[in-house]
Amino acid sequence: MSQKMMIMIHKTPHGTIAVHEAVEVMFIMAAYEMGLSVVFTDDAVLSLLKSQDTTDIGIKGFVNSLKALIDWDVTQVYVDSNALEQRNVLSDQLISIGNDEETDEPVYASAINRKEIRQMMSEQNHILSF
Amino acid sequence: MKISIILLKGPYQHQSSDTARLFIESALKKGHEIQGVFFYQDGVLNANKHMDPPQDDRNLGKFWQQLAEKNNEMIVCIAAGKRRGINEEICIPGIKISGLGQLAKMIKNSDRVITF
Repeated sequence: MSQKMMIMIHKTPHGTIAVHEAVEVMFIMAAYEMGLSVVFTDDAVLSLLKSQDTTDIGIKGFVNSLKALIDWDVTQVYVDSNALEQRNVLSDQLISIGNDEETDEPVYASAINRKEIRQMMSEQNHILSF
Repeated sequence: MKISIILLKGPYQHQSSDTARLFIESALKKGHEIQGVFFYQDGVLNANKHMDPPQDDRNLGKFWQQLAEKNNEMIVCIAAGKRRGINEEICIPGIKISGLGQLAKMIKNSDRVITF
């Protein structure tokens, strides 16, 4: 893999279209084999909550796309454990991002702390921030 | 250095378009190459050729048009553009409407990618 790219998502899930359009970027970058990893941090960790339902606010939402990230070859997905703690969110409240190809077991975003995120950032060629 | 620019904010409402403009001007002056400019999210609104600010204000539309005239690759994301009413008819001449795949290619060919 010649390049490493990270997409960092910071914004609240439905307050702006930022997360929705970041998901669209993820799919394309994975298809172009950009060495993609994705990190949900700050308020964006709420994008991974199971209990989201956008019906009443009349928008399509993106949670179905997030539940199928594995199918789109977006496999390196991380969530900021410090951001989860600050918002009182437990990891069992988060959606699965698809099923493992071989075992068919559900796959989840890996929780990593800020220090580990910093380390990962230092290894990237490019970081896109939404 | 080959630099690509991603612009995510609309013109005038945010500082981003102006900062991107000033950054591009400085980078070119210093001898860097602008590999491309990719307009995404509300940034696609920068490609609206009908922008017509008061005469005594800076004209961002004109800046993007002049940059496109110098053969710089400038692309509006088609999906983000369609959401916000930016189509071929409205788009500044020289700015292309294309997909996110073009962003991937732009990034592949760049030494640095800077998001505004």
